[in-house]
Amino acid sequence: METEEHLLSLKVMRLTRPSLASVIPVTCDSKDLPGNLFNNSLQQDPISVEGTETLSIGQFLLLPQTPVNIYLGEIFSSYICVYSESKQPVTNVSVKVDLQTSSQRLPLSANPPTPTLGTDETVNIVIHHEVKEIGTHILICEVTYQTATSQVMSFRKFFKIMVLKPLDVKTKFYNAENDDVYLEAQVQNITVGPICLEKVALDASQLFNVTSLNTTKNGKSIFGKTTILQPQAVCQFLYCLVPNEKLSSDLKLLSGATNIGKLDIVWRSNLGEKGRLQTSQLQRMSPDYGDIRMSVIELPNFVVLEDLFSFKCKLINNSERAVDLLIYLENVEGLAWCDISGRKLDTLQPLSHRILEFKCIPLIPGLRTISGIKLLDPFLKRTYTYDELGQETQCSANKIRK
Amino acid sequence: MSKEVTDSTVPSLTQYFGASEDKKDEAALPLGLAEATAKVGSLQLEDNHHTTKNEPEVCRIFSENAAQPKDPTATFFDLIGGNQSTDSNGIISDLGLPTTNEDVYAARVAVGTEADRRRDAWIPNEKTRQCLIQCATAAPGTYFPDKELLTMPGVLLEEELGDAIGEAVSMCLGEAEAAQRRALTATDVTQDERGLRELVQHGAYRAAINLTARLLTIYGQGRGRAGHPSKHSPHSLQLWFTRIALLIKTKAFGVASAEAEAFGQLEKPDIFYQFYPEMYKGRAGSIASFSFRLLLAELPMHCGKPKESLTKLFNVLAVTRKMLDNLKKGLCEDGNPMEISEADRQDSIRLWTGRETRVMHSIVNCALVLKDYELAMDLMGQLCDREGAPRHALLSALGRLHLQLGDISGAEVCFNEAGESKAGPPGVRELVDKGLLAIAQSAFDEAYVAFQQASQLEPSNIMILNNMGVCLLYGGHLKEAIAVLESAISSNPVHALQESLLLNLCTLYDMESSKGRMKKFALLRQISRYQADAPTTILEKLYG
Repeated sequence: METEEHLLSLKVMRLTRPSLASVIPVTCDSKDLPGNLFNNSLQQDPISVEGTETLSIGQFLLLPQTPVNIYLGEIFSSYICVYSESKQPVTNVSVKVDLQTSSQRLPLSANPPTPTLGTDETVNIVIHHEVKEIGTHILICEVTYQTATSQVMSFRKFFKIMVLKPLDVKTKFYNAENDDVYLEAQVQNITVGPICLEKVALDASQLFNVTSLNTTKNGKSIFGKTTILQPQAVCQFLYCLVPNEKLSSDLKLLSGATNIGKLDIVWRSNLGEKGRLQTSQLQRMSPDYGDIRMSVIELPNFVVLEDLFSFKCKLINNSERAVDLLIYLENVEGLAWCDISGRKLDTLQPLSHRILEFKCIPLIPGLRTISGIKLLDPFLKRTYTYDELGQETQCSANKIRK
Repeated sequence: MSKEVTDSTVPSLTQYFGASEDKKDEAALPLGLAEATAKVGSLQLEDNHHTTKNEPEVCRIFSENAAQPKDPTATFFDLIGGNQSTDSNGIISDLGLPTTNEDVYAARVAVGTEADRRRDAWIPNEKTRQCLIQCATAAPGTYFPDKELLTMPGVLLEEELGDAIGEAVSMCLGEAEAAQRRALTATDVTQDERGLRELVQHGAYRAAINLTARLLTIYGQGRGRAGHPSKHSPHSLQLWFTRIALLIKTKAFGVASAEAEAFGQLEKPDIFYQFYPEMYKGRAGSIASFSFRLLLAELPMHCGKPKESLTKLFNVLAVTRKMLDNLKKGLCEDGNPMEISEADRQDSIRLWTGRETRVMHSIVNCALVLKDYELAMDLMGQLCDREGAPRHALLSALGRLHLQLGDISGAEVCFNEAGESKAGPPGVRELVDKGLLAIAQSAFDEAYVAFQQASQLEPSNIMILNNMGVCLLYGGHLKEAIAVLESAISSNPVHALQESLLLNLCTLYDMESSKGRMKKFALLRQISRYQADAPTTILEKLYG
């Protein structure tokens, strides 16, 4: 604690954004008792805006009057003013500003010392620092100076700042059959006021090509002109990640590619106060493809009842040996196979694939699931069952024409 | 009169903000007021047919390109001057003689004029409508409505309000300085409506509130009268409107809301002319003015209940739109199939469209209190699209709305569009918007330059000087910031000594260590010299 008298005083003010002061528009008709008096006083108020006096959207800047929370990713700015209250000049005034976080001490300002400071003169420092840690921060301001008698004096002041978490980001991954990965990111505003999301982007790892699914065909945001998030509100973003060619040709590599990328979020609040956060590397669960894998690569959405249709599947041998497989086609409701069940497929070499084509006739209208394909590996006596490979809608011919 | 009104193309809010002459005439008002009252006195004797002669002057409230006012009070005075309407006599009446006055009133007001009908029109809710029908059909003196259908207001403030500035001065600067202060009090003016206007004119709002309490006592609605039945007249309701408006202006929201409670939403039957068939034979509509209705709907949002305001404002908007709808269908405002002339219909549509705009503005303000920016932006969009809307000013406001919530690119789009809607080099509006945009981008130096350019165009503009001061602080120039704000005050103390600028200056003084206190006292001295009244919050800041 400082007990001694000092020749200098120190004041610190946090520089959050100013706000726009606004009037309470009280108006009346000229037939009312106060006549035009209220309207005139409103018009002459420097706070009101000419032309839109009755709207309280102001333009008169008001310095911050109440403490405002600071959030991770925002810029912490402060005005530090050292003021000489002494009649005698003070020399070699140096002001050191540090920020102590739970893990480290960051120097924010180390200006060269002011040679002399006369009466009523000030040293002004404005600091800016992007906060990168949550929790208690202490702003430490240390002033050192020499009195007229060359005595070195020094004092310190401490200011506590709590850095809060602004956003809650939840992610979900879907590994699609065709090896695409879908990322669903829910961004929740956990600050006390509304925020405007300026940018939410996925910086994908190099293994994937990313497509944002949050814009319409003509490039407009699906959330409207501005993405405003009220406190506690959640906004959901969707991204599609397509593995690049090198990755998709190598199943082992594909299965091991769990690093998806980082979400980069920029938001703004009161009068443009900006914050920016980047998530840590997002990880997906590595897909287990097994030794033998089959996935649909071509399947019509709509098929006509009692008309033959075909679809294609990719059969991959992911094991280290060549396999000879038998294929069985079991009856499913609403669909008849047009193929031979129990036939032997050509030998599939290790780490290779083949395209298989299947033919069926749809019998019952409605949404149907392609199921009932079985593969038998006689060597291992192991059966692979493929139910729910894909879905198509079966309808009568005239319906389709419509 | 109707002819001239139809000729002018009227931006919707003209009835609130007239031609630019208003400003310069304002100083001469108190003097002119006396003449005006004399004129009204003579008017009172005139007959209704003389009205045609006076017609052109009436329209000044509505017409955009108003003729040069012949006497300085004309703009203020349009309410009483030309429009022969009988109830204006009622409003201006001398309160000293309430009983005689009521008699005169009753005789003359019997039917009411076209302008009155238009202005007072309102659609009562169903319950009130039923009650009003009973009033009209019952034999005189036989219908006694339930007490719950009555509006029973009374002054709740126990004591007269003191001179807040004087008290602060005597506390901080001593009795001697306080004794030098010459502030208008309720006793210094005539105890009537004219005195009330004089107090309001001088900004002595607390004194004016005191006077309204005295005047309401005459109507049996003074202290301790809440909950007791009393009759309402245009004049008593105008006193209440003025009182509650002033309570809001002095930020005494608690008192305002408590005293306003008795009025509800001005939906009770005794607020309608039909409730008093003997006195206002055949006249229909609301005795309370539209301004009062709007004020009461806005009140909850100042008291921390913006959602309540939102409901009430939308209700006012719905009735207003219903009336416009009726007018467009060839009916009267309230849906009555009475015939009105085409010109009158157009005037009425114009008046109510203006009021509709005003209500929409209030809803935007309420949405801002709620921080419901989507609603505010939606309404602003609708306002921009209205016929004759001041697009330039509205787009700029929409841009600032975007800035407020942090949508910088959206703000830029609006500002650009606003700039395009107006030809010529950038004016103050564009430069100020540019400065605000720069602030949102943390470019305080750039913002300062923009405000400085604006200041060159309008050197006496206090808002611009203030904004320059704020930019200087963010740039690390505390002393310069203080100097700019102090210069704003010294160049125009009457207007610059207002709440927000004082708050800014006090904040800067606080940064200047112990000297700040003396400087704040100096500010208080200036306020005492130039202002009749000031909000307590700012006074507390000065001696706190």
